[in-house]
Amino acid sequence: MQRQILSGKHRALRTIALNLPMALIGLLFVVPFYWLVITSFRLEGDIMVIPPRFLPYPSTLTNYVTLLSKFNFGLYFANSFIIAVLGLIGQTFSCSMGGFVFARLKFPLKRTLFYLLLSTMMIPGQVTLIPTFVIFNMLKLTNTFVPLILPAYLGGAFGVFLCRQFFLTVPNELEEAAKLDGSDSVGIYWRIFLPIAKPTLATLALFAFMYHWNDLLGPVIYITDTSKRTITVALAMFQDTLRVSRGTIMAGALLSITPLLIVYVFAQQFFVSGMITSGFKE
Amino acid sequence: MMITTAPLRTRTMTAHFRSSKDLKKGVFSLKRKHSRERRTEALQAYVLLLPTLLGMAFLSVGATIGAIALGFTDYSVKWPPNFIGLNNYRLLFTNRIFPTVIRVTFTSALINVVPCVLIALLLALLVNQPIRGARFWRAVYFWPVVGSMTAISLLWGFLLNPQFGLVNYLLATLGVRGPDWFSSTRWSIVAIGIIFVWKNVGYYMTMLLAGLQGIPESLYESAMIDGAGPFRRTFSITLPMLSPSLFFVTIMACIASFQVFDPILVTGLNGGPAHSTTTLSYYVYQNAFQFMKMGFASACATVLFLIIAAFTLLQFKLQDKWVFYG
Repeated sequence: MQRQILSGKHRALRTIALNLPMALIGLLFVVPFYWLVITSFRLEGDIMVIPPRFLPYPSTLTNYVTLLSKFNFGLYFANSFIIAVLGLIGQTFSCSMGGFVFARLKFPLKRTLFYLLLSTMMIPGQVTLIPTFVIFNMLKLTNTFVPLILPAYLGGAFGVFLCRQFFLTVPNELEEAAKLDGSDSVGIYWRIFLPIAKPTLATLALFAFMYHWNDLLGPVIYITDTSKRTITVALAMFQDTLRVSRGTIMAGALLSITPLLIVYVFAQQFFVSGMITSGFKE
Repeated sequence: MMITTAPLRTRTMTAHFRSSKDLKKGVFSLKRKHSRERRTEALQAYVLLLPTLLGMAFLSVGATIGAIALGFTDYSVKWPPNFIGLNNYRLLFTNRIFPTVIRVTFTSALINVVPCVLIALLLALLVNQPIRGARFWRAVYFWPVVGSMTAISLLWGFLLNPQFGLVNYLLATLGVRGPDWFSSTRWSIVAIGIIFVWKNVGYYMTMLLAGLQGIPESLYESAMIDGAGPFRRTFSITLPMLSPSLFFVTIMACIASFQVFDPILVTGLNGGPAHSTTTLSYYVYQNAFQFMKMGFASACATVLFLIIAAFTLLQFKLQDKWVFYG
């Protein structure tokens, strides 16, 4: 709005005047990241010094080598990846099905069920944790990936809501045409709604991946075998072991956030629009 | 959807029926077909909804009821649950630790939510300006949202290290002696707050930004014609118009704060020192999975559930008083 009113010179001044505070605040987000990176390339002796060294050298790959060879980080990475991908698949299907039903079909108790589902967003994870654990424990499924993956196949308020919001915007004509061709609701979902929902499903898939990749509480509770640990649990356990150097911990932390950070750099819009549409992050 | 379908169908069907008798028969069978279709549709709806319904039955709604029920038992993984009535609650409310836990929970929420929402608001107002660089900085502020709380807690555990951490070093250069963050009963909760704000502020900024972009330009234009300056415009237009978003963000941040878990575990605080970071949700975790007192932990979880429910309701009531709907 001010764009048309301010002259060119004013605009330049304004840009500088506003970029300055933005950059200062930006430092609060950039410097810790920089610190994470440089520490991960340092030996213990170069980390525990006063005053701290701000320049990257001397640097070394030792921490990364230690992580992969001594601490088996490749395995934890793979475990996290398997869980996150299987979780992503489950969420994409179960939530798009639920979203389609609430957006497009008529059935008894629709409103009641929808509001009940939405209200589950307010239930804190710690409340449902114990009964869920008890069920999986009775089924002898603790210390497997099942309790971490299976819930993803059972919908969820966030994903269903995200898909519903998208499916509400699809014009009726597409559906009518398919109905005249003799498609039933399941066919319409599968042949029409699922293919056109790709951008929404991509957002949902990304969130599901992020949720499973970053989850700590679930794996902490369910996984006891060292070989089944996820990357988050492996990192959390580092804190208990005094033998692990700061540099190695930081290297692990950096490695663990790298996949999502790369996706974020290239697909920023997916994260942002998904969060705005649904209003929920995890 | 059905309503729009009906006329379209009737028209296409009519073309096939020559005599009025045929037409009558057709309409009759159409009606029957419709109710059958509706039944099929409802049936298929429930088939497609099955995963969601199972999830509600076992994971969300069902599990909440399960937690409430387990709260009346002495369940531990070692023995089957025995009904013990209100014993867990009696134990909880006469517990020496419980008042501390409640105090920590609310102090922590205050320390987490208030700065988080205020900073998010400031950031949203800044990056909402139509200038070069705004998009870039917005992306920068948002990045910790993507990273795992585990990694970020480890990073801040190091940054806040009293001897070799960057924060205390920078404080020292300003002549301030930084606290011993993780071993002080007063500062440990602030350390958790710092981690919470740093990790989540970009998320709440994004939500507020969406709210800001929903404010009609015309309001600003007329205010400028009336001679309102930037501050006046912010306080008379932006903030009142933004209040629904601010309200929503505050609720969400409170609920998120009540559930903070990762940094308390990862930084090695484990609720300490001296229970100074034992929030109610961490207390639930400890009792259930460190002490294996599932029944007692379920009673605590029920209290947590009630607090969050009450909080949400209270905020929804207050919303009518101060939220301006444009």
